[in-house]
This record gives sequence, C-alpha cells and structure tokens, in this order.
Amino acid sequence: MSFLDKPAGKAKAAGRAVGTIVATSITSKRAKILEGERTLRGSQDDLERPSRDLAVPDRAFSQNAVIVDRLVKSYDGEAGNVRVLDGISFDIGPGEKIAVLGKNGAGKSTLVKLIGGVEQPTSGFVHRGMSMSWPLSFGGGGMSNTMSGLDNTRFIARVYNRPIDETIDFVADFAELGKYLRYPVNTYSSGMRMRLAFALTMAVDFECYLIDEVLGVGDHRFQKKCREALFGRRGHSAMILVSHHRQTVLEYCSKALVLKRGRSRLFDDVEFALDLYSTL
Amino acid sequence: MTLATEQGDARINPKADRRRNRRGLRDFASRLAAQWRVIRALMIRDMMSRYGRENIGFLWLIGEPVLLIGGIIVLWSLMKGTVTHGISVVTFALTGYSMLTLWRHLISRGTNALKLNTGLLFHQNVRVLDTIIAQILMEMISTFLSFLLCYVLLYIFGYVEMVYDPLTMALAWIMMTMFGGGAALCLGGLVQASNAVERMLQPVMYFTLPLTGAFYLVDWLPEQGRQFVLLFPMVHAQEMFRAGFIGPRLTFYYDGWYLFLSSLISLGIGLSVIKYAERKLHVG
Repeated sequence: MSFLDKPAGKAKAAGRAVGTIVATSITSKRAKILEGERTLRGSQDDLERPSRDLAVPDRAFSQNAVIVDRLVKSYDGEAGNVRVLDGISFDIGPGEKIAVLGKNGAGKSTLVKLIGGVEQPTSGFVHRGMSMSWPLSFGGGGMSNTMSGLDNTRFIARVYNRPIDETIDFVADFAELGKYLRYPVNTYSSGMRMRLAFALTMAVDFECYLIDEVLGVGDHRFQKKCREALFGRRGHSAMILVSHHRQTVLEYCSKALVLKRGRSRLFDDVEFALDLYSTL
Repeated sequence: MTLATEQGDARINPKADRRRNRRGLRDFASRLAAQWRVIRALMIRDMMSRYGRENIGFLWLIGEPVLLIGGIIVLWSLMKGTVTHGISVVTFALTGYSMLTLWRHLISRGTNALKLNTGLLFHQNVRVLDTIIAQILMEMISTFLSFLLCYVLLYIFGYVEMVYDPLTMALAWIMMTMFGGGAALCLGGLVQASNAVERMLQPVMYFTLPLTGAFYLVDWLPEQGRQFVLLFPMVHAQEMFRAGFIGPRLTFYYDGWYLFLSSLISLGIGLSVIKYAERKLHVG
C-alpha cells in the first residue's frame, strides 16, 4: 500500500486549505458539529505552513483529484425542505480509496450521486479531475431496462468512446451471462444485473469508482472476481466505497468518511472510524 | 453547477482565466465532438429501447406515424369526399397530420423525457438536455421519414401532385421542430417542478389542437379569426409547410421571421427552464 502514502499526504494538505475557506463561511449550524470536525479545524495548521497552502489550489485544479467543496443538497419534500447534506468537504487523490460510513438515510447515496454528477448540488461544487464511473448501486442506474445487455454494452461503449467490439468481448467474458446477454435487462435477476453493471464499469476502465453498497452482490465466485478486478488489477484507481461491511472497509480503504446528520468527518484511522460508526 | 465552479475558480485561482482562454477553442471543439457522440448514442439507444429487435424493429419508428397519417387520410376522404374548398382532401390530410403528429410527439416526448430517462443521468457526460435533444431530433427525423414514405406512396398512385417548393417545406419543418422543441423543454421543466402542471397538460394540449392550423387553411377564416390564429407560431409553420407543398395556387398566410423569432425565444426559455429543473431533479 506504499503507493498510497504520497497522494494521501498531499490530499491532506489540500483538505486543510479547503477547510480554511469553509471555516470562515459556514453559517448554518443546524446540526451539532462533530467534535474536531475536519471542515472546521485547521486555522492553526494553516498558520504554520502558509506557503504550501497557497500552492494547493494550483495542484488541485491541474492534477488528478476529486475535490468536494462545501457540498449542500436539500430536497423539497411534503414536510418542508430537507437538508440531506450540509457542507461536505473532502478530496480524493489518485488511487486513494475512501470508505463512506453512516446510518441508513445519512446521505451516503446522495453524496455518491452528487460526486458522480447524477444530481446537481444545491450549492458547493465537485471538481472531477479523474474519469469517474457512474455510481454502481442497487437501483441499477445507468442501464436501460428494456434493452438487451448487448445493446446496453454498445450504448456504454458509444457514450464513453470505447471500441464497441472489444467492450462486448470484455463484458461477455467478465459478466459470464452467456446467452442471457441477448435478453432485455428487465428479465434479469438482481444478481445478473449487478454482474452486467460491474462488467460495464470495468470495461470502461475508470480512474475513480463510485460503489454504493453493491460489493457483496452475486455468488461467491463473482464476488471474488470483482474484488480481484477492483483491488488487484485496478489497484491504481481511486474509489469511493459505501459499505456496511467492516472487513471490506478495513482491508481496502485508507481513509473513512463518517456522515451524520448531513455533516461529515474524514478519518485517516479507518478502524477508529468504524468504531465510531458502530456507536452512532 | 457551472456557475459555482467558475466562481470557485476565480476565487481560488486567478490564473485559471488566462489558461482557460488559451485552451478555449480546442476545448470547445472536443466538447462539441463529445456532445455529438453522446447525442448519437442516445438516439440509437432511444430507438433500440422503444422498438427492440422484434419483427420490423426500429422501422416502427416510421411505421407508427405512417399508420396514423394513413388512417386519417382514409377517414377524411370518406367523410369529406375528394376535394374540399379547392384543395384535395388527401393533400390536406397529409400535410396537416404530418405537422400535427410532429407537434404532438415533440410535446409528449419532451415532457416525459425527464421522468423516464433519469437512469441515463448516471453517466456523467449525459445531461438532461442531451436526452431531450436526442428525443427531439429522433422525432423530427422519424416523423419526416414517415411523411416522405406516405408522400411517395400517394404520389406513385397519383393521389398527390409533385411538391411545389421543398425548401420552404423543409424550413417550416425545421422551425416547427425548434418551436415545438422549445415548448417541450419548457413543459418538461415545469412538469418536473409542479404536479399541477402535469395534470393540466392533457386538457391544454387538447385545446391547442385547433391552434396548430391542421384542420383549416387560414384563408378560410374571417379576418378576425385570421388575426387570432396567426398569433400562434404553429399556424405559421403549418401554413408555410402547405405553401411549400401546394404552391401559389391558393393563398397562404405566414411570416417566416415571426416563426423563426418565436422559435428562438421558445428555445431560449426552454433551455433556462430545463437548467432550473435539473437542479431540482431527484434521481431514483
């Protein structure tokens, strides 16, 4: 995991710089702020090394990084405005794997959708310096249910500018759906659907993967194959992993973001984050 | 979103401006290429997901409107005889119903686009606007091809004459697509924003039917009626289309510039409404 160290260190510095901007501008404090929250910390840190912080934005916008800055998302609901995310800031360097932890309804999926550009934030912005996969989730978004797996593959290849034949070969080989690849996706079981979705994202070969709780899907053999592909061959790609599975998070992630009532905190100590999450 | 990013850039990085200018043109070209690639993929996908590969497959894209237009031609011929007010009923029905079909399909597909295609937004380079543009283009092409098929068949069997001015017809078709597309974008955004609009859409669309000019020539109307219906750009498009088809044998009332300007305005409003609706969109 040594390749993670350098980008992680850089990212930390960038995070602080973003943090200083945030610290002066956060006005809404509806939720109790988690102790030592990342977005509010750091005025001392920044005074200590101003030179490096000044250099950060240049790095941030020119190099491969995903930067999430003061992300706010609220929905108009029956019972008034619901603020799901309330000022989330963090960033991901190349190859970094971050776990997102939080209770059901804490806003994990919303965060992933905003980062993937599926929905637009109410305020704040996401800078995407890497090629990002679409969020892999149980809803099976990104595929068209009435089309066959094969036509879906062709569509993905066209949208992401990949050679169509090679993509089909890869997907057929990876998903192992056999003749069912020629049937409409709405006839698939949920396991088969996830196989196809996984194969499609692998075929495009993104620099950053967004995975929303679907890592535990499929039979044992396919799970192994997915892990092999995601963490073995594509060990260089960054990842945002929403998971409730302690073992997976501990094994693969170098950082963990804990979400609570729309606020977030990033931990470098994954084990500590998991313990905290279990007490939420 | 773009706005926020730009503000962010300017605040943090003043150098970004200069750099962006330098790369501007090349960026624009490559983005345009990407945009076209995405829209093309969406059009193919639209075709495949609607009609699949069963029986005649995507040819239904043309077959569906042909059945409708053909049915109407037969029906009207039975009801009204062969000639009415000096225009053959077949010509009248063919021109009227092709335009009407285009208008109705544009609106209904535009309004449903946001609801039915949200799954597509999972792909970062597919935006709401792309999905609607793809549908509008698809509708324009497919309805035109079915008009062409009907026309060729009817021409072979001698029911219609050679068209007088294809260019005028094509312009009318394109501007109708622009105006209808703008209206579809507006309504699509409004439907997303409010349920009430969605409920009202059906009756409102029904009442716009006489305002498309498909069921009469403006020439047949009294002066006051003329002035009223000519407020609606759809009537201009319809008259222009028929003028191109029939020629100066009959009198047609239309103003190409009025149609063009209202198309631009409706597209402009449509784009901003969609931009607004996109921010509010909740993707399942």
